[in-house]
Amino acid sequence: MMATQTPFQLPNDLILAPIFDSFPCREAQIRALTTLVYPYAAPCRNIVIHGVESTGKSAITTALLKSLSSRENQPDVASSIDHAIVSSVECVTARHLFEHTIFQVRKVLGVESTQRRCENLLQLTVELTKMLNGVQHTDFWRFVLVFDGIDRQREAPYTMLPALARLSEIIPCLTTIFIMTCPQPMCLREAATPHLHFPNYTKQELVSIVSKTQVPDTVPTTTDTETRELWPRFCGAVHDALIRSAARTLPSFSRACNNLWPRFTAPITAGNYGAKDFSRLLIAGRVHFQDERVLDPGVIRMKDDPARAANSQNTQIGLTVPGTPSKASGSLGRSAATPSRAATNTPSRRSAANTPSRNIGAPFATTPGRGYVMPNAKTTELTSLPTTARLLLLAAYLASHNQARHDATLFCTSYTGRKRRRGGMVGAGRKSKHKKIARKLLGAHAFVMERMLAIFAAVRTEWAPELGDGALDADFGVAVATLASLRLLVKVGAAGGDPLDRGGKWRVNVGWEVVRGVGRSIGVEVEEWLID
Amino acid sequence: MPPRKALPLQTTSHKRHRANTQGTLAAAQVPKRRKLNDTTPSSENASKVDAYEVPDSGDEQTKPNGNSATGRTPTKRAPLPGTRNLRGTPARKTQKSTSKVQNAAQISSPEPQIDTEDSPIEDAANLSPSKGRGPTPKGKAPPQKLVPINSARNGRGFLLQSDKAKSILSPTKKKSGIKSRKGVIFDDQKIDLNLGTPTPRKRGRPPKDKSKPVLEPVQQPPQPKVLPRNEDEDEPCSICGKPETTKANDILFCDKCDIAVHQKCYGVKTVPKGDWFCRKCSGEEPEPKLPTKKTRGNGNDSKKEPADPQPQEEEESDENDVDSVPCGICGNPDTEPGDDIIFCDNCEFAVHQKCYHVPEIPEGDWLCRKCARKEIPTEVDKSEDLKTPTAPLPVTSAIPDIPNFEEHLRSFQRVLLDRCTGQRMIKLRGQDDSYQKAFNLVEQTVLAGEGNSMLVIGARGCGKTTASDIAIYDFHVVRLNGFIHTDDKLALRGIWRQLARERGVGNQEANKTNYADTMTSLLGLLSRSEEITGEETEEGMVAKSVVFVIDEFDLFATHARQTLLYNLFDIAQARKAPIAVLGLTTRIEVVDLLEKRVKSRFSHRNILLSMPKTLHMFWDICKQGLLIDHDDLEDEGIDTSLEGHDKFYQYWAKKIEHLRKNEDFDDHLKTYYYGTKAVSSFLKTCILPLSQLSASNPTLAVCGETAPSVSLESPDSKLHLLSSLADLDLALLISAARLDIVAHTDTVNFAMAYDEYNGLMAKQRVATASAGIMALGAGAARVWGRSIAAAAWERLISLGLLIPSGIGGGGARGPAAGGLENRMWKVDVALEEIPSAVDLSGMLGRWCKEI
Repeated sequence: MMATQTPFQLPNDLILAPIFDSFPCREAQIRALTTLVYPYAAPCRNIVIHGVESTGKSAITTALLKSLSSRENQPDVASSIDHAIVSSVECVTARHLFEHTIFQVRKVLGVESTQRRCENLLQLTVELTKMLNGVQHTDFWRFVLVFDGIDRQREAPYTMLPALARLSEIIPCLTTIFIMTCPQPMCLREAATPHLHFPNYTKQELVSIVSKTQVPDTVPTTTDTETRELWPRFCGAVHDALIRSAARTLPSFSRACNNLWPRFTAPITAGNYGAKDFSRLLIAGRVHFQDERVLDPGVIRMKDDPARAANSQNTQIGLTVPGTPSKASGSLGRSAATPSRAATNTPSRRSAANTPSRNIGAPFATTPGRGYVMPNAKTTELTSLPTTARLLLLAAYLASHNQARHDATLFCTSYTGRKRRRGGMVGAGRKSKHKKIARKLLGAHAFVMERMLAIFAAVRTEWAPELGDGALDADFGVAVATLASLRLLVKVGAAGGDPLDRGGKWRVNVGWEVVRGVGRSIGVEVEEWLID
Repeated sequence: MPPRKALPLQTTSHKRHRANTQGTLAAAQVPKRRKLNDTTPSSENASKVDAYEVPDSGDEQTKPNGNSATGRTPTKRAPLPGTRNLRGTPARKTQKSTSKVQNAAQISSPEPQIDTEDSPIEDAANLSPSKGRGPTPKGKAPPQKLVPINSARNGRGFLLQSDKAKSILSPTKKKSGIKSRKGVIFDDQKIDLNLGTPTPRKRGRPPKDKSKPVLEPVQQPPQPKVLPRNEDEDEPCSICGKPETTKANDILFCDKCDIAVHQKCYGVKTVPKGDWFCRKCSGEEPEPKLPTKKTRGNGNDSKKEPADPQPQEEEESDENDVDSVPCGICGNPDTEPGDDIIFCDNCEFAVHQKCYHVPEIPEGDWLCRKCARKEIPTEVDKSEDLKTPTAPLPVTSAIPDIPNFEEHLRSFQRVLLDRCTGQRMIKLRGQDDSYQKAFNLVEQTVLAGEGNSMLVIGARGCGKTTASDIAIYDFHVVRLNGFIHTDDKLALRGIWRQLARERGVGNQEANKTNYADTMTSLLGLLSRSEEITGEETEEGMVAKSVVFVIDEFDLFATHARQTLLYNLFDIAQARKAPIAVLGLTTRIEVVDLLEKRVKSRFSHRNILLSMPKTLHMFWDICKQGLLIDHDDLEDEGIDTSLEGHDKFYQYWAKKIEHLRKNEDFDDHLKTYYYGTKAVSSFLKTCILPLSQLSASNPTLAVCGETAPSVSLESPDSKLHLLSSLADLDLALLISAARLDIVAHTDTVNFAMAYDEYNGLMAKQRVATASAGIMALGAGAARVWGRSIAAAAWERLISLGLLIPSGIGGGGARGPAAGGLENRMWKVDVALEEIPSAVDLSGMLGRWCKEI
């Protein structure tokens, strides 16, 4: 087989030391990954790196590979690793991913090629084989291909993951690294793949990381050492109050610490307490530790609440504090425009896409009294709609949220004298052993256009008598079109149906807050018209 | 039709053939070697099994043997109940001690009112410490009876720790069973610690106990004879350690402490009739010099008296008077420097260094030969040799003195790691038949030009690819993979490309866009040209054989109309061209997936690769990742000429053997054997331990405390994510999972989960408020606002703990679907799974339990 072989050898600690420094509390994982990647140690074909968000998976992999492949680090050894990183977040389709992969590899290897198209896994395999086998290197040269966030790839064919895992069987010098959140069992259809887990940080680790990486400016009236001693204790308190209970991620932790620090140290600045009175400071700042806005800062800063106004000067100090380049320092939540990696790593990665819908769709959307108010601008826009459209919207909301059997009770002007004409005491006698879910929790239901129009006809004269009776038909068509084009009303089912078909099904797409605002704009309390 | 001769090809196939025959030879050698290997481990296994079985069968079976050997009367053992579990021993003891109490009561109290009819269990139940301290009117058994149950104590404090560690950490019944039995001798007050009985407090007063004569017989009860080993394999002599007996040199068993000695070793000229006591036991008797005269009844009577001096010794030893325990061989408690009494760390057997031939007291644990033999079977041979009696120190702890140690270690690491990571093939074991079939088929195609088709079926990681690779070795192969060649068109292109490489066909053909053209020309290429064109081929031209290896064969069966399979099988079957089609798949019913016309062209030859059938076979395969066979050293490129190679090889092999006997490792291996039987997933757990070896620390720790902190095992389920969640995330998850049960809905949306969360929190607040706790501001008891909860909900979604469900909003169809509030989700964990996966705070734990 092999006449000569290089004995087992781990990379020099000098290479790894800077990585240990920049990613504290991850030494074991870094060492393991090094062993699995380094050509002279135990290079594996495929590696799966998994763990929840913001535990350093991508950052450590990138930094380690960069360090291992850089020429300066290994003057004695011929460059033994090249690597390319393909991020699935940047790729819209699988084809995009394949072409991006080819592009990245080509860039690293410096191969010129006119072939641009890569539509399927076979072409990817062939292209990679050509490129990697065509390169002249030492026996121990390895190419590391990293697929970051591959489990989130859009429009991925179902054979993609196993096929990518087979690449390294076909190309012997290839190591493929898959970074994912939570691998399904046997997702690569292969038993031999080592899985490296990046666990979430514990409290000690979080506190030590934040207290190491970002030390705030010295608070006025205290000494440097006092600040340095106070900061870790403060971080521990923040962790217990907010992070462990609501958002256990490093970025949210560091953001919360940085946000709270100026408010927390305000009594010191004011001279009321010394830096040593930690417990007193804690009691004084207890309000701040219960402040939810620290974790969910919102997008637009609408107004300062009194507490913030009092500390606004200190806030300015706080804002200038975080300057370290580490990913952990992240962006302050307030300056959400910062295009940092941390922002995409937090839960808001998803919410970024969902935010508008969440706020429209939420019947109970925002907590009153929040400092940062979600964009309620829509309400004000909606009140400028024509009255007919507003009436239709309200009618649609009622149709969506009231059951059809209550319609007679709500909208009939005649009194029938009997509670139920048919069916007797249905459902009253026996009680289900299961809890009934409140109807309002189930969200907006679909309704038939005819029903909405009936409700509209019933309430129109009462809510908007000034409209009169005539000439509504034209207005009605326009209003439905307006609402539909604003996506306040959504057609359910087959998309291509006639919007004026009275048998079509629709659903209202606005939340409670919005509807209440619209109702008040024409002097109607919608709440009175809802039956649960 | 021209004869098939094709010179260049013939030569290649000849070469190939030679390689193959070598291959078969090598393969044929494999089983032989394996058999050799078989014998040793299996015999070890057997002995191991025996050792395991001892506690079950040992008690009752062994006695009669021992008795017949020594000529003892077996009556004494007759009343022992046959219960056999660890806790079962007390019953036996109790009964025994009942008789003791009877005896004692006869002595000390004038009116013995002992219920001898009391069943032992009643006795045990009636035990109460206060009564036990003296002859109570009822004559209830003293508490000390229970003492021996699970106390593995001797009188020395220093053993406490090791005892405890063993009994807690090691699950084997073997050890604790012995201990519990042996512990009778060394009973003392510390026993209460382990004892689950209600008596502990009272018995913590040794001085008083000591003074009471009634208790004393119990302190040194005639130990129920429990031999740890099946006496079919003779109990070894405690002095020389050998189990062999001759007529004139039989092994005697003391009827009290069960020590086994050769007549000659102990200086007993004739085997006494009736009971025989060793010097230690007989030395404690008041009429000690009458060992032979005991009948059973007398023996019982006599035992009340001897107890008097002995317990005092025991108690003294409890009070750290170390010297008071007599040597198990000479019976003398005296010690002098260089001739200390040493205690076995397993069975508390006490012995003089000189009597037992232990020149130096070893550091760490010392085991008597009996225990050592049981624990480490391989050490027996050595320890039987009197010159090296203190063998069982772990071999791995020291760095051996081998020249070029580091070089050897490094080169071994290289080979073994390459095997573990899959860079080097490991040999196929236990699949010889299957391999031979595959090989024959390929051989027929290559040599005789036959067309063949075959399916290789086996689970993942059982060696399908390895088998086919070894069989084909280096021939013209077209490899297709169902994952990569996702439809027939791509597969055709793949075939073209690979044939172009193999046979020098112009690559431009592959660029034909027309599927039909490609197919036709491919068929023409594969089939003998005369069948297509009808012309005679030129002299000397012959079709080349090609082997098709189709990985994930079942996926090809899903392609439209199975065109590719149809054509391949057709060519193979119709003798159009010498091709062999090897389909590798995991699906056992794969033939049923084939259409009728395809199925009829398939040869229906299947090979079923089985997983290793026994743990031993599994280990035999796994071992290749940890050990290099002696014959393979050269092949693997290890420099055998380097100085110290043989020594290192032996050292390493011994270490692996030793590792196999480690219980943690055994459990680890069994986990994989009983879980997946996938060798490769076992080997991947060895990668990091192997890579952490160094010349200064050559101990391989695959599992256990010394193992690397990072594991490469793949997660079983999503449950491991729960430990990363914050309290609010967990609370929402539990609320959502509760709704499944409480409200009988299988889908939830955020509004429902948050409502449930709020309801639960409200209840919690009421509960804590009534309890007077202001729990509002503190961590988990705080009610989080809707937006924070929505962020937590999104986190659960992103972690895949909530799966989108189509109902109520059209799944994840973007903002039109009704927003976060109303989109319906399925919870991917069940409520009852949650507490097992994560440490919950009290409140969350209650939510999981109380519906």
